[in-house]
Amino acid sequence: MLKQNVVMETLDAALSNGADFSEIFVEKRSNQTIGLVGGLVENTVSGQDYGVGIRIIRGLESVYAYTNDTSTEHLKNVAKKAALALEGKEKERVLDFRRRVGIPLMEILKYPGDVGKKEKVRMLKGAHESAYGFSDEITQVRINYLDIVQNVLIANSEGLWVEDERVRTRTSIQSVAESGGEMQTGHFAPGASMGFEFYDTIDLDKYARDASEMAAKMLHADFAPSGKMPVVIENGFGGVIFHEACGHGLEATSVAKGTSVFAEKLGEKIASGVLTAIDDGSMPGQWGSAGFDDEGLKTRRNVLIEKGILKGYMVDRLNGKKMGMAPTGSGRRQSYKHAPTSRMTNTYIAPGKSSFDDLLSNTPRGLYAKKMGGGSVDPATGEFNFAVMEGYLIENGKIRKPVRGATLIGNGLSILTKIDMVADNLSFGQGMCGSVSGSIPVNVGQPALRVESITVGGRKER
Amino acid sequence: MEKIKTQTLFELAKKQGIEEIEVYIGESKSFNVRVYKGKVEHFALEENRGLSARGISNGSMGYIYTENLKAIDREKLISALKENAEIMEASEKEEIHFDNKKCKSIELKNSAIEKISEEEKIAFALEMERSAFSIDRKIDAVNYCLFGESSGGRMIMNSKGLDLCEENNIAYAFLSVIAKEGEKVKTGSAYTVSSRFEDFNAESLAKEAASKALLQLEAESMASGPQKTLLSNEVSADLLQAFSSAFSAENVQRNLSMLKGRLGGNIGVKDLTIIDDPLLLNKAGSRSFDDEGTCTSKKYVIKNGVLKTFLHNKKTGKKAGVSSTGNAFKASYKSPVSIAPTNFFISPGTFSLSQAMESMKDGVYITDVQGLHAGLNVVSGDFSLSASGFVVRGGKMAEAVHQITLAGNYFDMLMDIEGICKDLKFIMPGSGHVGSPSILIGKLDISGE
Repeated sequence: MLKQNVVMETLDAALSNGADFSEIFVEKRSNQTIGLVGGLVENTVSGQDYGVGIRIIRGLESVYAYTNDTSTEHLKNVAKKAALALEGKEKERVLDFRRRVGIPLMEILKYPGDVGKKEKVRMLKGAHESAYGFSDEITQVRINYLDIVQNVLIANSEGLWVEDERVRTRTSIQSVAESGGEMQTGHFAPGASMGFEFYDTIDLDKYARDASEMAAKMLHADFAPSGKMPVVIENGFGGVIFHEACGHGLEATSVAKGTSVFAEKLGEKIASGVLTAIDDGSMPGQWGSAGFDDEGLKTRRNVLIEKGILKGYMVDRLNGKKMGMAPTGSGRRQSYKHAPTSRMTNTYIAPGKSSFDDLLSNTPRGLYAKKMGGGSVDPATGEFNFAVMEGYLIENGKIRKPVRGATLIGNGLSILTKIDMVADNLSFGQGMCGSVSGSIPVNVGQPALRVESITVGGRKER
Repeated sequence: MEKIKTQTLFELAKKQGIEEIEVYIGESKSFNVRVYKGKVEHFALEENRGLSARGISNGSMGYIYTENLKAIDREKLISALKENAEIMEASEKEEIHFDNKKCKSIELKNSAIEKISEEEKIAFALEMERSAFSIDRKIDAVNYCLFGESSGGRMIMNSKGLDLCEENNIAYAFLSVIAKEGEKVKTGSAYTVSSRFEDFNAESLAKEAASKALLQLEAESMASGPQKTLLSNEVSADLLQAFSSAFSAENVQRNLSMLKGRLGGNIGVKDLTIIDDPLLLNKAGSRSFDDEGTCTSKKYVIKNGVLKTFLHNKKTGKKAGVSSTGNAFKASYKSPVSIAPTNFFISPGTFSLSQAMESMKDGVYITDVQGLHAGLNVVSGDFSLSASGFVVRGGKMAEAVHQITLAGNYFDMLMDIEGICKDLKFIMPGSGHVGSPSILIGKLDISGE
């Protein structure tokens, strides 16, 4: 991607005004998108991202610069200009590189570029047919397909040299159901760190039918109830509750400044004893995985909470320095346009011992949250929210009539103690997570679980 | 902006059977500085340049883009473009235009701010942080405090002769503070977006952020139930931005908007007027031409409650039998031409905030909502959002409330507006630059205890 001497000279120029550390992130990324509306290809774009990010650290201060012009002279100039923002006494030396090329976590069988666009379109049209044909009430289906091949080179003044390739694909299906002047939607978007062979491992048509089923069901559903109540949250994308309620608060980004509600709580019991949570960027094929993180460290399995006890944070290099902790392979960024920081990868709650039926039978009245949307959190206060897109009332321990979407809100510290039952059916869902270093692919996951009491933002008084 | 030579590319395109071709270049240079505890914590220098091309092959439009401008492989680019065009099937075709009209030019670049030194801008950020701490002992941390600016432009050239270029710049300041008292923690933030340095006031920004956090420290939840609701200008603008896609003719024609078939009908109360004005000075959404080269102009989207027009590009205009409204925009050079508002806002009324509270007597005043990317359905109009604000009792602002949700349907809400204040405010630019005054709603659903 860049020659060794160019990388060396750029890293050296970055240290020219005195600094402890310099890093270069070179990114070449091919993107292909195909969008279908009403079963017809409405847009398709292919393109190449290409740029270089340079980071310089002195003490706890950092500078980040990026450019699309990667000629040697220009890179050195950018590095020198960036170096002027920091003043230091000691000038470090750039060490010789220890080259490491990422061994793929999983072999890519069908590179996206080797699969014809017509074949991709054929598959998407099949999904359209499945979604559109689900019922007469389905009036529109929108499908967006994406594949990415991202090649990165990460090198730093300490001699690290890592090359890694990330291949990802995802298809999102949105169905619209309409009747009597009302419209409702249903949505599924499976994705993986795999090539086109991903679609051999899933039934895309089933996802399409499920999206339509959800839209049609919600069209005839009543409003969700309001107020505090027990909620049974389905497995898979239900893991968004942990992602928002706790995950962000365990990122060093907010822990280092002491502004997270989870700061200085290592070793303390912060959650109910049934809760064990893990962040693992090294899971083969998963949407949030990569062989190396965006600072060039090997990704790994990090236990965050074990049986309710806080075991660790997700730590990047710079915040680790602030906290006196080693980085955990959690440094991530959207692209060369962002300085890396600690982020989640594949974050999930480990399976428990209850069965899904136990969860229901222990809930005389409440809400069953079947399909979740995204959410957000303020890590300083711990206040979080996430959306339920498809819900059902639970009455006498049984799933009853469907109810429309509602937001669930709470406070991270208190909700962790209220997760009182965890089922044994772990699965994952895919999402995009937006934070300081941009929008990145993450998995959320969990077995079904029960929250003993949480505020449901519905529109119907009980 | 630095011109690029397109002739060779255009000639090659013709030779390869591309009927018409258009090149779009987006460019920006920016810097931003983040301070923490009296020191520069992070400094960023950014330069970005990308090129995209769209071209018609066999009647269909194909798109490609690249950021590697130094090493463009023209042959490869054209063949990728043709391949993409080949799979397009949309019944309404995109076209490449040049109507040789001169657009009304507006000053979008304020070079005065670029002459102010970086030191002065860093000093401004430090001053914001210092001011925030001096306001109250309860201000425990300033977790984000930054100043940034960006200048850039776009250039469009096509084989029919279109050749347009427009540059602009914008600066922004943002801070977020944490107030703490015992176990209680609250955050508050404030921002300014402008291309005039004199519009930035460190002290007033610090005060705004601090008071938002301090006033919420004592907040409690409240009982669930329907309430008369006053939405602050920022919250109302947040909602308008989230639902602005319903006004896009593209969504209307794709059957993805509740507003389809409502043109000329009453979709809001008589006092409601929504304007899209691309020609305002010192506003982030201002453009003299859109991304298809159409001259932009001011238009009423809703006038006195009546839906006057959707936002159109050339393609949707043709399908609807109207002209483009000059709202053809790309999210970036990487994206296809779509539709977006420019400066899009609810026209201010006459109420002051306190008059609005007097008229509502009892209800809630919502000053913040969270989870806008998740807790609403842009197609159906339904929303359910985490919210905070204040109880209004006997026409006066009373105790703070938090940990509640605000739920309703946006399109029902437009028919239930009981008052519009005069405090028009624009929020951080996103897809368009959206503004609103505070508005009073007859009933929305609150969920709490």
